[in-house]
Amino acid sequence: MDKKIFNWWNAHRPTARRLSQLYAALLYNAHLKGFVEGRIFTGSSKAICVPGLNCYSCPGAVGACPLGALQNALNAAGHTAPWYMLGILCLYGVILGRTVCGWFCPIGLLQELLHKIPTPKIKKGRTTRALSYLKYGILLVFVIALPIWYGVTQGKTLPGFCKYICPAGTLEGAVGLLSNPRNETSFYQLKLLFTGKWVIMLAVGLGCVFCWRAFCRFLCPLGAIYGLFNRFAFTGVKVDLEKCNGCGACVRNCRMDVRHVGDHECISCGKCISFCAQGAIALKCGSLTLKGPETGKNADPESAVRKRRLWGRILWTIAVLALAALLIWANVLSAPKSESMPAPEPAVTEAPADPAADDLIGAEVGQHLMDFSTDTLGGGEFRLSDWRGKVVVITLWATYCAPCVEELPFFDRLQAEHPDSLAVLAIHHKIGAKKAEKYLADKGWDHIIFCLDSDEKNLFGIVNGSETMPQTIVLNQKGEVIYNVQAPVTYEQLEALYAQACVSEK
Amino acid sequence: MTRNRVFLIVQAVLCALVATLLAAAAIGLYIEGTAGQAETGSLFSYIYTREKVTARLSPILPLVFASLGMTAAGWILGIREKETVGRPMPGLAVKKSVAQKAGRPALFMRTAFLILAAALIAAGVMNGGLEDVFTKAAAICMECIGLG
Repeated sequence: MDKKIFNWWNAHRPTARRLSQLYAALLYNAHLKGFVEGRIFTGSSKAICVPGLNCYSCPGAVGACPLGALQNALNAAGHTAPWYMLGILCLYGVILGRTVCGWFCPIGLLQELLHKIPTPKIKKGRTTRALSYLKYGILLVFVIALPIWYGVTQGKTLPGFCKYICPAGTLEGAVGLLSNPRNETSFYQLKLLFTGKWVIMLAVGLGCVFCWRAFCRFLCPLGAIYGLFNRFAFTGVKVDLEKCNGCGACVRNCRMDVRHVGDHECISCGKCISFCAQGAIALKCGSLTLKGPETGKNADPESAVRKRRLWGRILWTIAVLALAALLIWANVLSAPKSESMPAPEPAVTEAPADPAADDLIGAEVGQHLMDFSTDTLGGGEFRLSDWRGKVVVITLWATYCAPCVEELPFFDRLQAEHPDSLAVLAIHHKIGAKKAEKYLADKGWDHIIFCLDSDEKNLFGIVNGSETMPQTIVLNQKGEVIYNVQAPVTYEQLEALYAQACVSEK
Repeated sequence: MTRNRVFLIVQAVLCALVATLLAAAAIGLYIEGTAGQAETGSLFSYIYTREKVTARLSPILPLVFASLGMTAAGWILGIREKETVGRPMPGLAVKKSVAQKAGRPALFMRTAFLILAAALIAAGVMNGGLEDVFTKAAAICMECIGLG
């Protein structure tokens, strides 16, 4: 029995590649607290791109997605050259190439797990090889052309691949956030775009069940980028031409659509190493052998294998310690000040209807919003209690949030229509707040009162705001919240809310 | 047809059915929601709500569990499609040279790209590219996750 278990374990134990994939998935998504709280990580590590595809709107993500960041950089190419993102992709490409896809991509792991579902499988052939060029088309159109076109000529934010295709964004970002009860109002934002992306995600997932790494082989533009570096990347599967007899067993047994070992389709999974009877193939990083033939003809000497294993263990120990440190930092030490700080004491200058009830103060519908004051961009001061007797509309926005910017003219128009009975306050998120004043200089939204949030003010916290923007809060003349939803609004909706605020007062 | 083959086909049908039903649930919700909006004329009737989604997805859950159960059974019983190890692939002739020559050009390209990458990153940090990446990544990207 023991022998049976031992044999089973030997046949099923996770390989070094599987462990690396799991490690990468956990490393990229070390903010485990985010899944519980339904919030994304906002620590400084978000400025660093991870090598694999991992949506930065995932509640667990501690780094930026290179593909999303590239599209945004190209989107902004009209005013800021995308040097940083091009450099990062160049660096990952030349060091790792598509080894990233095979070893360090959480979406790659997910695809391989889906493929483990026992069903009939689609074999590679002419069709799959032809389809493997589709990802280059997607790269050109959705990642490069659309963001540049919309960003430079129209001044609009449009990360084409993320917006219309990326199943990682739908799964990690949308489903990851929506599955948390805290983000219930985010459901209100879902329309045609989500419906389409949901269907695409299911189709891709189903494709991966039947076809080995269908997304990676046919659709992933990040793989297409890294594939361009594969021929000369430091790390990858290399063939010793002196030992190779050209039998082709490596290419025949490869599940990717490769023509040569190590070409643009090769993800350096290293499976071909075990199929090479000549012992001519090895996974290398520069001149260092990471995985080589351990049995058969031309096998590496035992001493070399032992040395490699020892180094492997040392590297794994360091990696696990680094992961533990990251987990502690992301979940315990780097809590944003707004979360760790106690909420400021309510300074209600005018008592609500029932001042004895503490639960009447809050940002939920039916509660009275806590009084606050803030300096405005015009140089004045906004104190909420000063506007008692008027309808107050608060919008949470940011310059980099496309739907927020699109709806600001509606707020400006609403304020212009009701100058004496309404105050519109637009609070910019603390991230990127420095750029807001310059951004607003030529917009002409003069009727809105603009202010900036900060860790000290924590205005977003007062109105139950989060990183999900836009959010609109409407208070009636008594300061009672009648609407607080994270979703874009139309002008007609704003008018209706204003009318409702006036009615609820009477 | 062997018993294993039947198992694989049943599982394939189940997977396809689950995916189709999940897709149909979303499409149905969307059609129903937009029709409802047009009918009532209400500005605040939402297409998706947690309640609507739960109601639509609940009937599909037994099928999802059945598929998961079959997957587990397949793994335990060792049922899977035989791999075509080493067999020639139709229409895909393996070229004589399965390896690509590396050598000096690769070394030159590596060095050149490393220097280029370092220069680009330095330039990007100076022109605010790093800050832009942080700004976008630290906020929920609605366009990226399909909220809309």
